[in-house]
Amino acid sequence: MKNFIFMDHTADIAVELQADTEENLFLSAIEAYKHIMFSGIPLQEGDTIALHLAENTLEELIAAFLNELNYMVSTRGWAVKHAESTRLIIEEGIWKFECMLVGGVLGEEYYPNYEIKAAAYHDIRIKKDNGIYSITIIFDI
Amino acid sequence: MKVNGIELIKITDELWEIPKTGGMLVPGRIYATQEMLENEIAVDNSLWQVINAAHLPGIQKYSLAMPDIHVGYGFPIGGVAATDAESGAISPGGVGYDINCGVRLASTHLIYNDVKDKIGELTNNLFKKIPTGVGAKGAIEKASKKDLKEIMIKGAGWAVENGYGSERDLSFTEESGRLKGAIPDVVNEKAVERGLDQVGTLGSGNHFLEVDLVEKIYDEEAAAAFGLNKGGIAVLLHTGSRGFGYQICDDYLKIILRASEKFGYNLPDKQLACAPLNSKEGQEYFGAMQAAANFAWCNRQVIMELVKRTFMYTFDISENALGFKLVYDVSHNIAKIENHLVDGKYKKVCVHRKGATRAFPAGSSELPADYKKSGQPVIIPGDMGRYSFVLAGLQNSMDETFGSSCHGAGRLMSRSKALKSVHAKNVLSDMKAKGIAIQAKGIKTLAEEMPEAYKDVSKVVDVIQNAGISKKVAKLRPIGVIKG
Repeated sequence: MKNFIFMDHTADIAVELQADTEENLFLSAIEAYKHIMFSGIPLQEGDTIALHLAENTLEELIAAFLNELNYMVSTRGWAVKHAESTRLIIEEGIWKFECMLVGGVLGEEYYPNYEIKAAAYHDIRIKKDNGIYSITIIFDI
Repeated sequence: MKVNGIELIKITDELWEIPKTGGMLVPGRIYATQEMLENEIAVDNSLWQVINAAHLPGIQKYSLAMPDIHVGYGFPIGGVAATDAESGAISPGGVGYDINCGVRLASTHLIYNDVKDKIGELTNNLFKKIPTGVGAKGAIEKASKKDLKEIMIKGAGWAVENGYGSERDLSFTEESGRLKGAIPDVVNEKAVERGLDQVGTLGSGNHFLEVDLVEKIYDEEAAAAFGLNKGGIAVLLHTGSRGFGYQICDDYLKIILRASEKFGYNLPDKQLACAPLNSKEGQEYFGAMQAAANFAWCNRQVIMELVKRTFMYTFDISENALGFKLVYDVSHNIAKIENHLVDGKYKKVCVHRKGATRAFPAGSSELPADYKKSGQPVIIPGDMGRYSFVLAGLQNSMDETFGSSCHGAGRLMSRSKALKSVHAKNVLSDMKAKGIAIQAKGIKTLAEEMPEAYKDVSKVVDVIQNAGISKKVAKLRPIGVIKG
């Protein structure tokens, strides 16, 4: 099982995330985002950022997570390398995800490979097949 | 005829109707030839998105699609939908992430012979002076939050007040470069943070700055009104509201999704989420969207002034000698309240244009005096290797499409396919062989944006002209290109 597979999309970047658990989809999301944005760029791991997110559905939570990673890059040049202490729960019908992001500010000489506007909500749906969870995310670039 | 399982009734050679069925509130109408429908439009789900958009509460007359239609998020790109401004809905998906992405065209007194020996130098200078590409910092050195608040309200007017351009520019910008209903207080802090560094930045992807040769004139009178002469040099700019607008769209998509559920809307696509325009959520989105639209107009105003200064510096000429003049600035991702004829009566509607351009005809009160006879310039960018077009709005646009026209070429090839194609390696040399000086942040972006990755915009424009929505005025050919 790969963490992610790129799908063909005419205008933007579409990627199918895959994982053995719903929680691990978030780790797959990080790997896909890093591949798109930072391939060929050395990433730091000197900083940690605690992240707490909550949304009505798991799909919206994954999109929100990716948009948060994107926000950090676009405002501070902060790039995620990996996440630790991840926790996904559902509480009173609200999906919540928390983790410690590990990463750092990109070196001055480096810029991300793309400018992502956002991870879109278009056709976003979690599927489970043969024990593998998957979700297709489209990055509007 | 059926395309992707959808019944299409031919109205004319350029106009097809999807009959109203199921939950559609109105029929769909697509401006395209049969060949385009079968070979280009059929490759994606955009026709289904025309059907989906027809479910929008309060939608009037038709869910419309221009000939450059291709799949978007919720709405198709190239989609136009007008909803009743009193009782209908507003949808962020009908505007897009890049709120007020648009194009601006300026003319000059220069002709090809004036620039041909220095086009490389000009392109290099523009590349140095215009913040371009991912991570580029704005031309306005870290705008303050106070500045940004003023930009949200004043739009292009803020730029003029701060020395970027002239009052005349505002008359030649759609809505005079500002929508009056912006509400800065409903803009999330995250959007502010994303926008602070980006005032006066071009961006990347399909955003560009071009130095163009006016290659052909189709309508002498309209071209003269626009200040375009055959052999003249013009500048074309394509950019929008940058991270500021993207964040506003993302923030409000979530809010409007909840509102859709609250108001009991059962829409076929999540990204079509909408709220009544007159609800708290609808009004706040509309207020924030207008703030983003104003940011985009300010952005284009700042960049264009920097372009003018770069021309003056490169050619060592005065402002008078250069004769740099704004032809027009149009948005192609926006929602606006306009008065249009519906069932024989004028009605206030919220016109959503997503990848569609306003195209008001001669006599429209919204146009400056210079264009009352010609109609509004409609600027249609093509790709970086071929051509772009300047059209003029015609009466049929008001009769049929809520005063709207197409916006560009649309992609034919995915980015990954473009990178793998035989043209990718040679894109730089191919452009140079065409006599186009080019500067880009990365060869990868260039390959993804190569001309072969885009549809032929002349086909799109021909449909629009044959449908009587807009008419061709001039054709522009790129001779210098900047890409992020």
